Amino acid sequence: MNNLLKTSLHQTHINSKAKLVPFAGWEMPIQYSSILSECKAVRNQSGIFDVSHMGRFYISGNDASLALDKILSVNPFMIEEGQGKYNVICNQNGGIIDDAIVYKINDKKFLLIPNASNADTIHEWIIDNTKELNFNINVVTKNTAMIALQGPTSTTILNNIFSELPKIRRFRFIQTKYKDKNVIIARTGYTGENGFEIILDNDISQNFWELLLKNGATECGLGARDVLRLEAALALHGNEITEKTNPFEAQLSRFVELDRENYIVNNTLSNIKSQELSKKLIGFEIQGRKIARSHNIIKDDNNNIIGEVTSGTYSPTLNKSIGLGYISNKSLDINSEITIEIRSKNILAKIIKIPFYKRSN
Amino acid sequence: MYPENLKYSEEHEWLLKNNGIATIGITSFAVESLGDIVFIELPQTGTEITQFSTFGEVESVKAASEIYSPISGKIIEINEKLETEPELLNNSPYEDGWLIKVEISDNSEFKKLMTAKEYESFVNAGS
Repeated sequence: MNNLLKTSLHQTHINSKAKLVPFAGWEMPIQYSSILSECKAVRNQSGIFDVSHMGRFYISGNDASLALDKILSVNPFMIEEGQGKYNVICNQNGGIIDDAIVYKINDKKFLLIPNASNADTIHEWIIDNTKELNFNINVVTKNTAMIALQGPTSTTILNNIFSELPKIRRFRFIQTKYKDKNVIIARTGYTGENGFEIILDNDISQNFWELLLKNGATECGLGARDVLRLEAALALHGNEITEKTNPFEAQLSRFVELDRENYIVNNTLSNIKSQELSKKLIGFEIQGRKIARSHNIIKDDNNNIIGEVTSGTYSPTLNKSIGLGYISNKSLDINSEITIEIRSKNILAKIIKIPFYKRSN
Repeated sequence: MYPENLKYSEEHEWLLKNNGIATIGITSFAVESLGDIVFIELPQTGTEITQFSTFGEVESVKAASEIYSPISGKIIEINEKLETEPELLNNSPYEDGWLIKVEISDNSEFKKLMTAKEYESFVNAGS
């Protein structure tokens, strides 16, 4: 019927009557019951998301660390075995090609998780910039599934399934077995909630998904995932971060480790860092009953255009209309009033602190 | 699949006629394509509205959409509950989720609206 890729959980989604949409070349569930109830499930209990469309690259060989040292904004030599790190991958101008998580299995083996829409670009980027090095990239995106289990009860659910699960700290992972197959469980996520991302072989993914459901998790789609990540003010590539945004203006400087001679954009990023930024990322709250959408114009109180919205949504957790965007006027700060043009109308908004939502535990 | 006693517009509004008064809402098809509705903007009672022109706006998590009136007339009542319970639109588009009641000014406008059967064919042709 169509040329869209299907994850190993596709049939499960159909059985659950999910609404499926094309996303980055894949047919993915955007929602099951409703976006709002799925958000609520993640904040109050737990939700599961099929995120198998995201890239999964094993990078291994004698020069694996060196290769990633050239490419990633973090130093792979400083990552511990069993640790994962959020990072960005920048082009020659310091623009963000993608953001990713890199997991260190050992000095000679890493797992890199880029976004679905950028996976091919990142693959080429690594190859093009590491030609002289001895390592290889094994793409396992289509052979494995990736399930995000997110929410306050997620640890309990995993402990029910794996009887002797050790404590996994934030941004750490373990390799274990399920039905005699290898499983990676990482304490990471994209919702602002406690949770895990689990990578497992395609042939056990449906069974594992159903087991999560039996243990009380709620099926959630990409619609809820987007609302939840925005409540937690986590950047989305294509919105807050693009090839035209550098990590400093995106407030990601804590994920940029400079003074590395191998890092191919070390000097570019050092230069950008030493200069004044031309724009800054802000969070805002709309005063009233409208939702700002990506590319809506932001103005100051003299009606001058000062920037653009990158994401906006209704936050069910805060019961507010919230959003992120860039502004050029650096004198505006928390509590400053701004105007957002929504469908030709000027709507009042206020800059507020991000993240909008922070979990209490 | 669409209530037989209602009339429908191409913009996916429904209308129930009762003693010169039209109750107006949006169809289950519209509600499903919008997804979770979170804000509904309606004019005040007394506002005159015109057939096929916009009188309000619904905003869902995913998208915003204008609401067009299926008939001309004066608004005599708005569904105040929607302000605090916008989910009524998703849960009950033909009953608790009604939007406005209008004093019909021109009965001849009805022939520009569709029956349930015609609306169903219209929706199926479009999707």
